[in-house]
Formats: sequence, structure tokens, C-alpha cells
Amino acid sequence: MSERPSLVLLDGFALSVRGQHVELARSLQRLLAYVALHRAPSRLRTAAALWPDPQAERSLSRLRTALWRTSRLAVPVLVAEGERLRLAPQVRLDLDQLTKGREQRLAALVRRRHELLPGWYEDWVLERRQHTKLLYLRALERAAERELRQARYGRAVEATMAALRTEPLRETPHRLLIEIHLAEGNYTEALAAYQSYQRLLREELGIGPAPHVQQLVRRPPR
Amino acid sequence: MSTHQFNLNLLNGFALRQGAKPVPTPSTAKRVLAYLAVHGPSSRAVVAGELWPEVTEGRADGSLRSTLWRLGRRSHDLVRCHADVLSLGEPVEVDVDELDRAARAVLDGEPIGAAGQAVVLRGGDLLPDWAEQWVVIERERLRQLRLHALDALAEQLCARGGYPEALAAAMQAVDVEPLRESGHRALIMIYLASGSPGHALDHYESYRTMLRTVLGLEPSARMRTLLSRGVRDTPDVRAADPG
Repeated sequence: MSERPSLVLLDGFALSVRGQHVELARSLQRLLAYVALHRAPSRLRTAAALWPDPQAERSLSRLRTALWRTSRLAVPVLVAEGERLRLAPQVRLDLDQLTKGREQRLAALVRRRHELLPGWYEDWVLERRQHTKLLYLRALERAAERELRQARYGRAVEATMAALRTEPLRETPHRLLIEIHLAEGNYTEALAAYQSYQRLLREELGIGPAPHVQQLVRRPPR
Repeated sequence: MSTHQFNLNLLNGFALRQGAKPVPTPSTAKRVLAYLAVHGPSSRAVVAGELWPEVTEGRADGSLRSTLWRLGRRSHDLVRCHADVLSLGEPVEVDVDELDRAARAVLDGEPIGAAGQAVVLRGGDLLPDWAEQWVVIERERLRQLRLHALDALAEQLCARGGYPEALAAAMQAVDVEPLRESGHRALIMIYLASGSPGHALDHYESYRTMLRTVLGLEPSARMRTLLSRGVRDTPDVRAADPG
């Protein structure tokens, strides 16, 4: 079990230390999430976003209280450096796995929804949620392309299906799915995938697939 | 031990059993259990929003709460709630997970044994009568996963000389999707490998006829190559021309 605290923002907030879940008041959850999602925000900006009040001093005072309560946790999770707040360096943030370091294992990528803080409606969360969704979709599409290049078609299909579950109308996974079927020599499956994409677009948006997607199934490969 | 064990089946229809006894499940509870089984741990907000999309968030969460409440004493074993995240309880075995695990193991080239093979061969359609979008997408994901697992299984078994089992896997793939070429290629490969080029030719002809009749298409170049190579390497049927 890792000694490092782990902060989870995808599919619900969770903080755990040595494998133990740490119960946190909602105000502390918001503080940790805000700092994690913004690059070393200033105290002033954090206080204004989390505790809006015409009197800045009142917001700052609530921030100080929250920081003090955070400092009483068993391990440090936040550090204040002068005017700036950041996560303590040993905190592992799940979001980082979408952007940093080695490619995630496909199974871990497809199993969860990867939705940022579902059920939170603050503006600063909504903005980031959309961004996170895009990062997730790109990670899946990269994985699909990688598996397709290595002729591992089953896994490539899995990655594209996870992308479609997240964003049913997005073109890239539909196109990839068609390309995977073609690469396998399954023209009829490619055609079926194209037709279901075509139907979906017509029903939802009243448009047809882009020419470069049409091109893929125009005629059976010789 | 066994009294606390639940089996949740979603393949070919919903069934919840505790030990051997069916557990009566209201339809809203079925949807919550199926959703969690398919998506893994999910926040209350997402579950409520997906399952009760037509009402306000407060009403949706109320419906979710009363649904869990109506599962009664069992609900603690069936559904866990941790912070604001819901998940299926430990003692719940889901048939979809079993299929998922076996199919992925095949794709990863891991040995799965007879029991795992049986799971992939048996397969099943996810909640066939449910029309919700999340079920449709998941059903297709599972169908594709199984098809690819059957392809891989047929190839692995054929390479080991287990022709009857390999044939069973390829035939299942063809059964799921009769026009999909991979399954037919696998069948032809197995016939060739097991020394039955005549069967391979017959099968090719019947697939070609079906494809022409239904879609006006021809089998791929890959399939023709597979067949002509296989037949050429088998001297006594050299006269037969694949196409």
C-alpha cells in the first residue's frame, strides 16, 4: 500500500491515505479540488472562487479556516507558499494519468467513465469537466490507433467503444471503428458501422457523415 | 456464506438470484443494478441523471433513494455507497464480468482453461429487450469483444491442433454475425489446417453465394489468398479453382 496520499477527482471525489478513505467536509473537498485543477492559484483567487463575498476579507478568512482544518489531517495534502496554494508534492492526482507519463493500461482506461466531479455544478468545475472529457477521448483514440497499428483489433474496438459511450456523436471513434473493421477484412461490419453512424447523425443532427468518412466504405476493397 | 452470495445475470435477460433463490426485483432496481454492473462505481448524480433523465435532479435523487430503500435489507449487500459513489457490493457476481474477463484473457493470449472457453462460447446478448442508449452501446461493445475473442480462440486452438474446439469457436462467431468475414476465414483456415480442403472450398462457395445474394459483394482478397494458398499446398484438390 502506497504511503502517498491519493486524490481522486474522476467519477467522484475521494481522498485516501495509506488505502484509508478520509472523510472530508464539502468545503475542504472544494478547496482541494480547486487547487488541484488550477495551477498554483493565489489565495485571493481561490477565496473569491470558493467563498464569493463582496468583502474580500471575509472570503480570505474562510479560506484561512479551511486551510487550518486541512493542515490538521494526518498527512500534508496542501502547501501554502507565500501567496500561492498547491497540492503537496507527494499527493498523487488521478487526473495526471490522462496527460502525463506512460500510456495507461487499456483496461483501466475503458472501465471507468472518467467524468470530472460528477454532481458538482460550480462554474470552475464545468469548464474543467469539458476539458477533462476531451483529454479522456484523446487518450482513448490514441490507444485505439496504437492497437490498430499493432493489429490488435479486439482491443482497438474496445477503446473506440469506450469513446462512443462518452461521446456518441464524435466522428473520430466512428471513423476509427470503420477503419478497424476494414483492416480486419470485414467489409460488411465496416458498412454496418457506417450505416449506424449515418442513422445516428441523421436522427440527432439532420446531417450526413463527412466526405472522408463516406470515402472509407464507398466501395469494397479488392 | 452462500446465503450472502448474489448472482446477477444480464446476458440474455435480467435475473438476480441469492444462492438458488430468485430475488424479486422492482424494475427501477433492475435498472440501477444493471447500470452499476456495466459501468462500475458511479456517482449518485450520474446514476440518477442517467436513469431518471426527465425529472429535476432533486426528484431523480429521491427516486434513486427510494429504489435502494425498496431493495430492503438486501440493499446493503447489493449496493455500496461510499462518499457519493455507488457500486455493486462484494458478494455480487455478475455474468458480464465473467465474460469480460474470459474474453480479455483470450485477447491477451493468456490460457483460460475449459471453463473460460465455455464462457466465451456461451456468450449471450446484453439485456436484449432494453432500448436505453447506454445499454445499446454496451451491448455492441460486448458483442464486438466476444466476436474478437472467438476469432482469437479459434486461431489459438487451431494452432495447437485442437480442431473440433477451434471449429466450435469459429462457428459461434459465424452464428453471431453470419456476414462477418473473420469467422468464415477462421472456419476455412481450420478446414485447411485439419486436412479437409474440400470442406474449405465448399464453405467458401456457400459464403460467397450468401454475400452475393444478400449484399451483392465478393469475399475479400485476403480470403481468396488464404484459400488458394491452402488448396495449392494440398496436391489432391489442385484441380478445384477457388474463384
